[in-house]
Amino acid sequence: MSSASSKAAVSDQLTKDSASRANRIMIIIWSWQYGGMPSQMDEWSVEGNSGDKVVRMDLKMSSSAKETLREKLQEYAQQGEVFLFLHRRHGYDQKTLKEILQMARSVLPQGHLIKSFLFGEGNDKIYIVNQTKGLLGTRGTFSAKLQAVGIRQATYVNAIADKDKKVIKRKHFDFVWHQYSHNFKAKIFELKEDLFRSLSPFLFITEIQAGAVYNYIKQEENKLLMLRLLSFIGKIRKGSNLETQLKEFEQQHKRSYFFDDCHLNLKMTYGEQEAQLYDSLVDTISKKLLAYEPNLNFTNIRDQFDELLEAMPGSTYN
Amino acid sequence: MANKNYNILIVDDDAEFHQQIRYAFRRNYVFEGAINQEHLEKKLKERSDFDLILLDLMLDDSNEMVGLDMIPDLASRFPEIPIIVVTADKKIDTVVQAMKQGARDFLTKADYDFDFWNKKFQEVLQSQSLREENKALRQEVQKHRDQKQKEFTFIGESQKILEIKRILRLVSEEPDITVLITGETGVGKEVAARFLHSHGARKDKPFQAVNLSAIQKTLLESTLFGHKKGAFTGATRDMEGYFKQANGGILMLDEIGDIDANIQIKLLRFLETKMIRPVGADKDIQLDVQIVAATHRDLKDEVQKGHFRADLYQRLKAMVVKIPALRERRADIPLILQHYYPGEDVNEIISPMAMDKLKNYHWPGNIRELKNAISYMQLRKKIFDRKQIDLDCLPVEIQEFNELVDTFYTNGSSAPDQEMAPTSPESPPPPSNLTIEEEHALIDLRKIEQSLFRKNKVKKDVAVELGLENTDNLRYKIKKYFDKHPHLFKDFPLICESYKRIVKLEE
Amino acid sequence: MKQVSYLSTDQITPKAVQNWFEQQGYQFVPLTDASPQPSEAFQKIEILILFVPFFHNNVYISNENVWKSFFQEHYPDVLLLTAGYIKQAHTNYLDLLQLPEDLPAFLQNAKSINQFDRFPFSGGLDVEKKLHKFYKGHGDESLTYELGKIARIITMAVDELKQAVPFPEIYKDLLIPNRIIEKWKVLTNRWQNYLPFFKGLPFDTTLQEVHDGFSSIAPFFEGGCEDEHLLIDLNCKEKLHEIKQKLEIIGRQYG
Repeated sequence: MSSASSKAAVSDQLTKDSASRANRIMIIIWSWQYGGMPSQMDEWSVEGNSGDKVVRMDLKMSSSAKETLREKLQEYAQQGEVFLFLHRRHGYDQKTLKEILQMARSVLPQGHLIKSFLFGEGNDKIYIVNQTKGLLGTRGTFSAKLQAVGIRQATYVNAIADKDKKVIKRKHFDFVWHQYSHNFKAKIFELKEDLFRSLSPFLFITEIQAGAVYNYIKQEENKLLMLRLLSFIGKIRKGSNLETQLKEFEQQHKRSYFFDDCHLNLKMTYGEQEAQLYDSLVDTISKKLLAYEPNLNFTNIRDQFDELLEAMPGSTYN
Repeated sequence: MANKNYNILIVDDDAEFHQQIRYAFRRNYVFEGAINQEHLEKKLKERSDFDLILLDLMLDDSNEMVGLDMIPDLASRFPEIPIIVVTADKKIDTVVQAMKQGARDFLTKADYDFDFWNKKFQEVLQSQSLREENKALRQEVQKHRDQKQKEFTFIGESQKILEIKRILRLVSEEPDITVLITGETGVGKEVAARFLHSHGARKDKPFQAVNLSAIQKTLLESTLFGHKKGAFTGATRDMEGYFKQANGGILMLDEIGDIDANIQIKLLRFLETKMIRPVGADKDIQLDVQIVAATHRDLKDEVQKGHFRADLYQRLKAMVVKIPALRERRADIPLILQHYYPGEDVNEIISPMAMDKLKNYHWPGNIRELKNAISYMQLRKKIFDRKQIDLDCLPVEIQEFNELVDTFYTNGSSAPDQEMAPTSPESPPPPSNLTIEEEHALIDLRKIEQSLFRKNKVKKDVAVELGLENTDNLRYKIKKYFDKHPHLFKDFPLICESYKRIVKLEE
Repeated sequence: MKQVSYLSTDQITPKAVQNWFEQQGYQFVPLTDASPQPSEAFQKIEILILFVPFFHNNVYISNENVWKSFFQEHYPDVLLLTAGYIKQAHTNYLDLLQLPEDLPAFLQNAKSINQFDRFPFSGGLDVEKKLHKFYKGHGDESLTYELGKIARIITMAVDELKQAVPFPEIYKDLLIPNRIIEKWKVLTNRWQNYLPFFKGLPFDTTLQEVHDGFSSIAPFFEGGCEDEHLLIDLNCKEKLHEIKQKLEIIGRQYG
């Protein structure tokens, strides 16, 4: 494990692996300069000499930025599967995400789709959380200072394997890629579980009065659930008070609650079936759950959640 | 336990583990290291005398136990290097698999303990030493057996010997028959018994030969039948006798004519029931042993004199094989000589004249005497720095042997197989007024005296020089001569001095 | 009144189903004590319901089969059930969105713990996989592997001290070349990473003891491993051995 030879063996294995799958490319648009890294775009390879890479860009949202992104997406999509990470603080939101995904769709050949994720505030899985996980610190570098509970000494974690050669550690890269491959699924699964737990007082009511559940969800103690459902159905506007409140919950709970990137990605990258199932569930939540509709059927909602989750490939958690 | 003579090869991809083990055991062992299979091969190519391989099963990040697959190959190529497998944690399946593949033991990295690990190293290293010693011993035993086999090869192509061999082969097909082999001293009775053993159903079972007259009478019973602890003073533990040791095989009882009445009864009982009872035991033991008895005495005569039980004699004489004296098969002499000069042409080594002398000598001590003569001649050849064994190299008694007698034996017997030499009544007349037995004794005693002188009275060396198996045989020979011919000993001061307890000359 | 015990991280759901149980003649009580050793609280249990998946540390965890293993080993007579919002059919699963009309009949129908192999997967993070990685003999994610390394080095250091080797030499020749401080950081980091996933498991108490064990020897490592007295006074060798043993006991059954 610690020897050069064993590393070489791993490298060989990875080369073999990479030969059998597409290269994986993460384009991260972030405030790199803030952490002292150059603002110019550059590429970092990943341990093991595969074609995997991390592309670093410090690009604030603008029309010229969109043009640059179009070119870059075209370029990298030719090289492999692309995950595009957009930092919310750089002006990226659901609207721009939609534009970018549409643009990507128009310029990329059939089948070359990208997944794009909005991130920010330090609670997403792209951030370094331990020795082998995450890529970004909170200060614009590939490193972070971790303070473990009960252990006085802080740990400095670096996702860089070789700074001069610009090489990223394999473990960190793999973790982030894996997380975002499953990110949307876990988010939907958690919403489902949290929703039914919250609605458990209604389990034994044989005839739920019209609007009873909606009124219950609207109560102050269920605010987070309401906000998450609103985000799920795409009813939180950028810059709105609701967006601020949900961001606050994210920070407070260290969880990712926004679905603004989820629906778009499902629609534009997962496939038509997943997008339809998502839309159908959005419809039910909007018209039955968050409405004054009689004869609310929980099992029907569950079934819709399950159908969507089953249609999404991969496992919920890694 | 410190023993820096042991070299241990650590095979592990974790360089730190190498460092730790080297550090912890730096006072105890010398270490070398390899970090992968390729490196290991290189190390083993450089030197293959490691005393131990400490092999990690995981040699890369693949999480595959590559080390496991390496064990059978290592074990077969380097059987003398034991392998201790090192595992990260104790998984019984893995350990069992490793042991099946040929690992000698295992250690768990997570359970490091200096004393325990050191003990394991020592156990494996010592068991390996034992294995090597055992191997060496086995080789030694085999060598000894080969040597024995060589010594006991039944050489001879004379008509008589071919006939005896044929009879022995037939007898060997009857593994329960008791055989009596007779013949003069030194004719090769044990050789014949071994020939019987090696051709019969019991060939893979033990062959035990015991000279009954060489054992003290008081000890004979326990030596033959064994004893229980406390059976008599000095019996500090149970002991198996010759009978038990020969179980399944053949027991040759040489000089059976010399045993006393008590042993005769017990032997008779065994022949009738196949049971023995060790001294001090309260139970009989059933055994499966074929008895081959031998004697130079005339048992019929001993029975008549009342020295030997008639019923035992009746049992023993069921199958009698008489081995002729060497002088009765002179044609075999060159063959026997050739046997003791393997890889060489005996006619080149021995001059024609010396060969004639050897062939014509009357060999009262038979093959045993011939064997001794060969050693003697070799020595003389060296001393005189001769290219061949010539007349000067021959023992004096052969040199001086009466030519007339020689002629008497060789005349009219151009075909060796026709040399049906007469037995003692027809033996050549002694050169003096001594009896033939006294002549024989004198020859032997002279040789012993000379050897004692040469070997500075070291009996062991004397026995070796005279071609005797051990000093017991030498003592037996002297005792035998003294019992019969005490008057001959006054001319042999070294023998008298060296065997004071046996040779008690009257003042 | 027959008693039904339950384990849940969610307070709302058990509260909601409590009335339902009571209406059908069952007392519905939370189980608070969870320890790996047979305890009084466990001995009294006849029926236990696990609400799955188990929510902890912002993630849903599926731990039902670890519990099954625990009960099978220590309390095989307990009737073990799971309950949740997942759609699945199993004799021992209570679908909270489709509760049975006849609870006694459902309980009657449920299999005893030795009669079924595993609970169906409840969809959360598979804690058995995590445990496997935790105990995996050789690998970057294994905690016990890293712990084994540290324990070995510390054992060697203490052995050397007993041989009257001066501590500065041990520090220079053993501790520094083997990067003991770095290893400790890796170990504690992994521990912090794993611990939340193992909350709510039968060996919760032992894990807390292990955590306390790590905290008790941390001063030696955090002090840069330079203080001979801390090494001895904090019983680092013995503590590490103790921790290893505790984890091994858990690992033998669940690892």
